[in-house]
Amino acid sequence: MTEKKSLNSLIIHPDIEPGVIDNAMITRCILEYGPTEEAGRLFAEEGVHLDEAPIVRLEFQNILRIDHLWMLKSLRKLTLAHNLIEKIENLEQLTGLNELDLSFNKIERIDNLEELTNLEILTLFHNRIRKLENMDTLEKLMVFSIGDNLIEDYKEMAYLRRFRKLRSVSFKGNPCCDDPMTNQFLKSALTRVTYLDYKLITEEEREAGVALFRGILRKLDDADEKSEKARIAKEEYDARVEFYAMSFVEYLSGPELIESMFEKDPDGALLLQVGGELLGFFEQYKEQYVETMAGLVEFAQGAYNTRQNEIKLFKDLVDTALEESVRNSKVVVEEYEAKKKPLVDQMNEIITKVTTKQATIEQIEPTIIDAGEAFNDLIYDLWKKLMTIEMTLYERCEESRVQFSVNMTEMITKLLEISRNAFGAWREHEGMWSMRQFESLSKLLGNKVMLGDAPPELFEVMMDRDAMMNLVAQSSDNHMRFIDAREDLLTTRANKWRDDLVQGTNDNEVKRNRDRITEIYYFIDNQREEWTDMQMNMTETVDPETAALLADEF
Amino acid sequence: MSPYTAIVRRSGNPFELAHVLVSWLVGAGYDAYVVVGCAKRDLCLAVRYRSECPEIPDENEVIEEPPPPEEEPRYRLVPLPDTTSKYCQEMDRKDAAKRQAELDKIEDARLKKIADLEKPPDDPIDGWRTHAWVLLLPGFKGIEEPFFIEPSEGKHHPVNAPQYQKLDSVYNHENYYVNLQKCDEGLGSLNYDLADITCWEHLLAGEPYFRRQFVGVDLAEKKSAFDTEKHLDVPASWVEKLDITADNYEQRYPGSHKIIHYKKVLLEKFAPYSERDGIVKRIKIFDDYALTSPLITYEWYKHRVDKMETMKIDHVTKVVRETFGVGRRDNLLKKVTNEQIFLEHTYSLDAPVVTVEGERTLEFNYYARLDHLTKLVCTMTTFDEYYTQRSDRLESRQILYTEPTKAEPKRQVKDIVETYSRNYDIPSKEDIWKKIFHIPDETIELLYHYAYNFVTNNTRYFLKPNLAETGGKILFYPDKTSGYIADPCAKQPRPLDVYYALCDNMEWENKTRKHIRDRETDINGYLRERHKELTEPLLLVALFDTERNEAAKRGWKEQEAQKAEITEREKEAEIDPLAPYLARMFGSGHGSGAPLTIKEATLIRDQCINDFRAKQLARQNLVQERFDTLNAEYKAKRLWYLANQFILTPEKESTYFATSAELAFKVHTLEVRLTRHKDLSAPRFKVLQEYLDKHPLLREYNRMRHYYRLK
Repeated sequence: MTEKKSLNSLIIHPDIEPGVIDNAMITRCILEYGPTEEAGRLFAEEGVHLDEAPIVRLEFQNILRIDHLWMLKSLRKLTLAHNLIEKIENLEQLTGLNELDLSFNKIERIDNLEELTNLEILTLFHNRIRKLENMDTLEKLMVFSIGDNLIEDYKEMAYLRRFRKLRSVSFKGNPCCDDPMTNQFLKSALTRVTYLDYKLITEEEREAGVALFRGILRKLDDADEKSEKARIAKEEYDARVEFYAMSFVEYLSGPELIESMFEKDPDGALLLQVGGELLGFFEQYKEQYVETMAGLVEFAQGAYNTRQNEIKLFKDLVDTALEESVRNSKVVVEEYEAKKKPLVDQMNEIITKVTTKQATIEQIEPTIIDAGEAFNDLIYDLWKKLMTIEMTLYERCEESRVQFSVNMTEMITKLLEISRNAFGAWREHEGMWSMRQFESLSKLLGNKVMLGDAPPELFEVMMDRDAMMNLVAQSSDNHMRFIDAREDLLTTRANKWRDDLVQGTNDNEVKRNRDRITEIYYFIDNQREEWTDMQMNMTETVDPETAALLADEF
Repeated sequence: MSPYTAIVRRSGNPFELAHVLVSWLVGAGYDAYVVVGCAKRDLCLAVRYRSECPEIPDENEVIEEPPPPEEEPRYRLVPLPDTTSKYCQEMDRKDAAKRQAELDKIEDARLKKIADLEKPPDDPIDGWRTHAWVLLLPGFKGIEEPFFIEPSEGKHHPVNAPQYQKLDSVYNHENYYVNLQKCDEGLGSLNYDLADITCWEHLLAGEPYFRRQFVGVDLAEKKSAFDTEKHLDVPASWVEKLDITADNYEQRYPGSHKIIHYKKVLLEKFAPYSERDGIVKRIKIFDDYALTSPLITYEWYKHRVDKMETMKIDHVTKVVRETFGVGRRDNLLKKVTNEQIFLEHTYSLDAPVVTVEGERTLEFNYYARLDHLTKLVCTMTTFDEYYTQRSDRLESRQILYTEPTKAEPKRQVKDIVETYSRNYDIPSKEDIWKKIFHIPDETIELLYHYAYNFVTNNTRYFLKPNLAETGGKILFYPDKTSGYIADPCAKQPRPLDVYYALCDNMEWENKTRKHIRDRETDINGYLRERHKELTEPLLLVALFDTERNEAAKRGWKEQEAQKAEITEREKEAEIDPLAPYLARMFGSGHGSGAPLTIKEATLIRDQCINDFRAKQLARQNLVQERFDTLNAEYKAKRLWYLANQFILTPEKESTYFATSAELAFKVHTLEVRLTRHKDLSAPRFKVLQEYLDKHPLLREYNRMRHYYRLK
């Protein structure tokens, strides 16, 4: 430290010496902007915990490079304004960041912000940015300041249309702001933004802008609409898949899966190109599959609802029982407090007597011991009552828990049975398909005329009986494997879900039980300690011998 | 006495009342009859002090039982082992049953004794007291069973009601039926089919039209038609048409006031607006039959400015409960006060109602109040406020005062306990449940909410630092605070946070104390106002009440007067044809000046008449002139057409027809106008002359002229 100081004193212009972000700087800045007066004293006494600081301001520090911020884990607001930063970097770890201020720096490119998905306020005022880019992941952006930069084309700002929550944009001071059209364009193009340069955009202004830029806006709107539609469709699809996944039958409704099966099986796809009656058979196969699976999906949905209902019934029971036990325990604790009060008063009286020398410790010793015994009885009583309540709760719920796990297993078994049937039916369809495929292919075997316009590989295969048979067998094998994999997936997932649920319920209950018992012991220890403390207060004034005598009691 | 008179007088004997009621019922489409018969004494004399009052409000709260679960619960808690002895239980039950039986016996004996005492004394002419009441027969308006209505009380009774002993005859506007059946077994055993001539003798032969059955009767045949025809009608009523206006209905009690004496109850009814305090009904419940020691008084009010609706005075516990309608400025709903407030204070005797230190409960309409106050409970030493749905989650604030002593006659705040509801957005260890300020001890106690599965909660205790020593700055001493953290695994709170909690709560305490002072002032002010409202009640008159809205009446009268004035003014402002001439001679504004001299008058009159004549003539000439030109043109056109009609092109011909039609129309119009002018000019001249003859300014001149004419 002393060395550094001496070095610093050698520098001619210490105020333009570049700063480096290090522990000392961060700590200093946190303290500087922390609370003042009495609160400040406490704050400093406690010491700075970098991983707990929610706000850090590193302003006017001549920082050249952003670094060493990863330890600020719970950072929500970071200010790096008025520094010499040229590149945005090393912020990937600060994912909880809500607000980032990088104004008055020398940044040339927006970069490396992808990880900061929680960012709501981003200030890049007075920098050297020419282009808006690399911000697509900041979906929560609400306030954005890009004023006093080097953006030359106002159409660049159309980039901001993608932020659905953006409400305020400041843009003044860019080169293109000399163009009167800039404002008009911004007002009309950023339809979701309410404030431009901290001024409310009125409806009339927007209308005027719309009239000017009708062509561009229409194009932008169209593009937006398309991407919006795609997004909604994807969301819906995902939601549906997730919904079916809860009953373990995702992708099983509709012909989707069988299509993907053929996609993954090049041999089958090749043979399918023969066409003719084969396509008809394929359609038939698909139909049969869809029908079978529809039955399974329907049952699985029903089973899902029944399971949820079962879980709710069980949860309700356990929750009510817990609520009641907590209520009873609270009453017990309250009673204890009420009984403790006179004892404490009595004890306080004794202490005042002793401290004011109205009585010697020998005189009142029996009273003290009596009070102590009464208190011990009270504590024991409290412990017994609380433990009884807790143990009854645990035991009364146990049977239901066992019953619950049995019921769950039963339900899952039922579901698995149905699914086994469905998959068996699928395998049958597959076999039939394979047979038909083979038959119809056999008819065409070696028939050069009929295969005239087939692709060369197919032609080759169809000329050789063995090759064709191999191919059919291979394709069928492939399919069987695929079906097995899907069935396995369903079975494993269902079983795992059940195990997790039952295990989780048991674990939770055990943990809850342990927590409660720990709490009871902790509370009782606390009460004992308090009592002893009170006596110690008194014994401070008397000789250590008596103190030892009294302490023996506990 | 006719029903009309009975309505006007609002009283009558049973017959008159029955007539009125039957008239209304028949008018409304019921098959109703006046019954003449015999009844018990209490009914005949309208004695009700042996019957229960039907209008005592039922104050037992309706307890709604939760609906039983739809299906048998699949999971059940294991029941606790039952360790009590079955034998002991059985013995206990037997004991209890025995004791209950003894109690029941005593109770039965008591009830029997009461019933004996309450039995009416013997009546020497029982069964001979004539009475009249109303019978309603089925068949109309959805009535399925015959039943009686007692007109003196407006209640219905079944036909076998014991108080009706004998039925002699029934009648209405259509016929009179005499009962031929025996009434020994009560009136319930009678046959009420009036068409049955073995049971009912008809005064007038034949049934009323609606009850006749023309089955198997050929009306076309003269003889049978003659036989079936009803021969005689009851004479039409000579009573004036009965009508009860809404206003009359409101004032339906004789002298706007009616008192009914029930068993241990006095029921008083008043017409709205008849009493100064707006009371409409009062029920006084007494402890004894002689009505000397009151128990409870219920009162109902209407149209009060202070929106008081009911008042219940419990004379035993001395509690008054007032309920109010919505829309008071202070949104008070219910007020329960104890009258025994501060009888030991001398000043309280004359003004006990205006101090906050009495026992009181005030309930408010919280959603209309900014502070969401729901209830205030005041006693000598406490003052509790309850809130609902406040944004800061405050639920109640309970204030405990010290007992006033001789040295300190004014009570002091001792403890303040504020309770908050759980805020689920923050963890329970940071969510304050109760703030307790011990004012004399200078301590603050904070209790936090219970976390899930916890039976103890976090607490924090502060001994407030002495601000006088530190110059107003709040300093933090770790030994002046202590706390209990319920979670054994949690860290101890940071001193900074504890310090902030201390600062916040010290500030909050000041705010709360200020709030309490404000609230007390408010409530005192309110109580004063309420006292005024009670002692000087005001009644609210609806805006559209045409009878009582004095302001509106005055307004209407004023409006009418104004209208009249305007018409008057319009009349006066009739055109004076002399005005321009007077103005020319004397300048404008000589409307009501002195009468003119004869010379002036001659001049003016001549001018006026000459001008009028000239104007009429000029107008006539003008019209004539136009008429002539147009007529000439029309004729010329016509001649031209007659000459050329065979060589004209169709377009020209049609143009001609169009223009000539237009011309003809104009010529005709002018002609009519001219005729009308000629017809009217003579009468107009006459009117002018007459006007001038009567003109006040020309009186002198007219007199002279008349004189000369006569001569």
